[in-house]
Amino acid sequence: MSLALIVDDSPFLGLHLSGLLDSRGIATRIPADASELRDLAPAADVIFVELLQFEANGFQVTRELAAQVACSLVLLTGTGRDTDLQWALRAGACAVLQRPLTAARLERLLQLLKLAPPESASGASQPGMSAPSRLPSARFMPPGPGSAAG
Amino acid sequence: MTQSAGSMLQVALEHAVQQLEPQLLPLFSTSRTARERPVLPTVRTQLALKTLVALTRFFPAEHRVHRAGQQLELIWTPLVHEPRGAAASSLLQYYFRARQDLLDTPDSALRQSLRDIVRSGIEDAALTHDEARMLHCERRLQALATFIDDELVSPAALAALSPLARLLRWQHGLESPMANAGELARTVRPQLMPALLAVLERCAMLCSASDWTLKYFCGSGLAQCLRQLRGLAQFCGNTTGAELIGWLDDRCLDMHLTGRVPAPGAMQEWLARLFAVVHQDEVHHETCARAESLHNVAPATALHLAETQDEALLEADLQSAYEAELELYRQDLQQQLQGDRPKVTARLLALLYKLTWIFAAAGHSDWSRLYHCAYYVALQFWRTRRPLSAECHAALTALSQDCGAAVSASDLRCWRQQLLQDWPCWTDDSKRLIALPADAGDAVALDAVPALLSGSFVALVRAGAASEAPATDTCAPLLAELALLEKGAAAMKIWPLEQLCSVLMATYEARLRDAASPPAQLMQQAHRQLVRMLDDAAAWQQVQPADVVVQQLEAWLASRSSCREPLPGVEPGGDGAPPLRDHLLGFLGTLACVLERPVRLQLDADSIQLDPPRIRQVLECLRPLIKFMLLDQAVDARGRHAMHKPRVSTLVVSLRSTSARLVITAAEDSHELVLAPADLQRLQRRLPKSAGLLTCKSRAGLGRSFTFTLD
Repeated sequence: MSLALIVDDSPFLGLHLSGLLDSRGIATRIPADASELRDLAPAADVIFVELLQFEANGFQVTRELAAQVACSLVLLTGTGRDTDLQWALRAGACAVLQRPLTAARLERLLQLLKLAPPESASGASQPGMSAPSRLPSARFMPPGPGSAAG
Repeated sequence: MTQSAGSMLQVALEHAVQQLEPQLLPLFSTSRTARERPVLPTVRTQLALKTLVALTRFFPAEHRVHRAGQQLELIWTPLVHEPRGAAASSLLQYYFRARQDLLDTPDSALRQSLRDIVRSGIEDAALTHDEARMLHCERRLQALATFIDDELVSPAALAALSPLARLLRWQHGLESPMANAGELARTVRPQLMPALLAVLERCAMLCSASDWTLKYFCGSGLAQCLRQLRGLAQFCGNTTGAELIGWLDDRCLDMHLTGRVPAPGAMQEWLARLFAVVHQDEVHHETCARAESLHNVAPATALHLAETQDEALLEADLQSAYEAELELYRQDLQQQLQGDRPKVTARLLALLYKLTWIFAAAGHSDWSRLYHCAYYVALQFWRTRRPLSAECHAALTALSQDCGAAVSASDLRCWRQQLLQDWPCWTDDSKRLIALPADAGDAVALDAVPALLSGSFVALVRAGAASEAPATDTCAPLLAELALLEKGAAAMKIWPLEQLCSVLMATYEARLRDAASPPAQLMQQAHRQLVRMLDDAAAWQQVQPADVVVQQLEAWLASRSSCREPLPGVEPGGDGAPPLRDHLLGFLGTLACVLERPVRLQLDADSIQLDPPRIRQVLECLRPLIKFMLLDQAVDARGRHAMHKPRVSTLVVSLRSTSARLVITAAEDSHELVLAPADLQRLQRRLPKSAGLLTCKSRAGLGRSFTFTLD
C-alpha cells in the first residue's frame, strides 16, 4: 500500500485530505512535527505540503524534503497566485494541487503519480481494490490486501 | 501594402469612424416618446458612411476590413427605409460587429493569435503530453513575434510578449503532472494582469465621470476601454469575466443611448462586478447566474460551480476537529482585529486563508467565498502598506463574530459589499515597470517580479551550493542575476532581500577585482539565507533580515578595502600608480561618505590600456562630472526607495577608444531628466578644456548619461 504524508498545520485540512486519500486506498500519516516528518519521509511515496503555514513556508519545507527523499512532493496552494507552480517546481515539487481540493483533481493527480489505477480510483471496477467507503480513522492505516498498485 | 501605408490607413479608418458615430448612433436612441417621429439619417450621415466604406476599399478583397466595409454598405438601405426608425431594428448590433472588424487593430489580432496558441497549448497539455506539439506551439509564438510590426503594435503588447514567451517555454519544459488547462491559463495571466488592472481602473474612472450622454460614451474612450477589457479577460481564460464585461458593456451602452443615469448604488455594484473579473474565484452565484442567463453558459462558470459543489458534507469524525479549529481561529482572528484600524499582519492573512479553505472543505461554500474575498482584500491592504479601512475592519470583525453561523444570502452580500467598499486603489507605484539590465528594452510590471526571481534563483543556488568559492567566470552572470534581484526587491520594497543582494554584489565585485573571496562557509550561509528570503517573498510572507550574515560580509569587505591602501588622497601619475578603477573607487568612496549615499561603480574600460598621464586626464574630467551627477538634486536612499530603485545607486563609467579619440560616458540611475542647454553649458565649463563637447541623454527607465570626448 502506498503511503502519503501530509504536512499541514491545520489539523482539519490535514484530516480532510487524509480522508480523501484513505478512500482511494492510500495510507496517510500527518507528522506532528519536523522530526517526525524526517523519520517518516524516507518511507513515503508522496508528500503533500501546504504552502501557507503559520510558522513555516511550504517552499522551504519542500526544498528541504527534496534534498532528503526521492518520493513525489506535491505542494498544496489556495493563494491563486500564478507563480506558485513555477516556484514549487524550482523547489523540487513535482506538482501543485490547487485548493479547493476536489475528488476529480486528486484522482487525476494520483493517476499521474501512478498511485491510482488509470481508469477509476474508486475501486468498484478494479479487482482487488477496497471499497470506496471512507475509513473511520483518518490517521495511519495499516497495509492490507487489495491496495492500489504503487 | 507597406507597413507605413497600413498604419496611415488604420489612423484614417479610426478618424472616419469617429466622424460617423456622432451622426449614426443618435439614430438608435430610444429616449423618445411614441408621438415623436423617428430620427432619419441625413446627407451628412450618408457622406460619413461613404467615406468610411471608401477607405475599406484600399484593403485587399479578402482582408477583414474590406469585408467589414461591404457589410457596412448593407446597413444603409434598411437604415433609411426602417419605418419605425433605426432604434426599433437590430441594426445597432450589426453595426458594432462590423465596427469590431474595422478597428480590430494588429494589437488585438496579436492577442487573438496568442489566445489561439494558448488554447492549443491547453488542449495539448490536457489531452496528451506530446512534446512535438508543444514545440509547434512555441514555434507559432516565435513566428508571431517576428510578424509583429513596431509601427502598428503598441509598446505594451510588445513588452508583454517577451515574458509571455518565456513563461510558455518554462511551461512546456516543466512536464508537470498538473500542467493542465487551468495551470497554463493561470501561468499566462500574470503577464496580462497589470494591463487588465490598468484598463479596469480606467473603465471605473470613466464610468464614474460619465454624464451619461452618447457623446461621452463615444468620445471618452469608454467604449474602446470596455472592449479592450473584454478581450483581455477572454485572453486570460476568464470566460465568466468576459461575459460579465459584455453584460456591463451592453448596460453601459443602453444607459448612454437613452441618457438614463444609473440608480444610486448601481455604480458600486458595477465596481464589485469588475472586481469579480480580476479575481474570478470571487464571482458569486447571483452574478454567475445573471451572466449565464444573459448569454450562453460560460464553461469557466460551470466549472467553478461544479467544483465548489463537489465537496461532500462533513462526516461525524471530522466535525469535532472542524468545530475545535474554527473556534480557535475565530478567537485568534478577533485578537488580530483588536484596536482601531489595525495593520494587516502575516498572521491575519494566514488566518483568513486557513478559514477560507476550512470552510470549503467543510462544504460551507458561501462562507468560503466570503473569506476568500476577505483574504484578497486584506492582501491588497498588506501589499499597499495601508492599515485596514474602517469599513473593512468592521466587516472583518462582524465576520469573525458570526464565523460559520447560518446567515442569509442578503447578509453575505452585504458583508461582501462592505469588504469591497474601500478596496485600496492601485497607486501609480504598482503600474511601474522595471527595466531589465540583461535584455535592453525588455520590461516587466511589478506583479511579474516573482516569476523573474525564479529564473535568477536557479543560478544562485547552483553557484552557492556547488562550489566552495565561485570561479571568476561565474561571477559576472551571478552579478547580473543579483542586480536583477536587487532591483526586484527594491521594487517590491523587500528591504532585507535588497540589503543582502547589495552586499553579495559587493562581495562578488571584490572577487572579480582582487580574486579574493570570503570564507566558503560564510558564502554558503549567505546563499542559503538568500534562498530562504526568496521563498518568503514568493509566498508573500514577511521576509526576515539576515543581520548576522550581512554584518559578517560587510566586515570582510571593510577589511578588504583597508588592505587596498591608500586611495582617496593619492594623486594619479608616477611610478606604480594604481589603475583607473582604483582611483575612481577611492574618489567615489570619499564622495559617498560625504554625501551619505552608497554608490556602486561599474567600469567598462578593461580592454583599454591607459598610460598614467592619460589616466590623470580622464580623472580630471570625470571628477567634476561625477561630483555634479551625485550632488545634482541629491536623492537620498529614502527618495530612491520611493522611486522603487535600489538603495545603492550605480554609476556606470565606460571608455571607448576610437582612432584618435577617447569617448567617455558616465551614467547614473537616479535621474532621467536631460539637462537644459544652459545647465549643460555651465557643467561643461567645470570640466577641463581638454574635454570635448558634453552631451546629456536620458536612458529610459535607467537614469541619464553624460558623454564627452578626449582627443
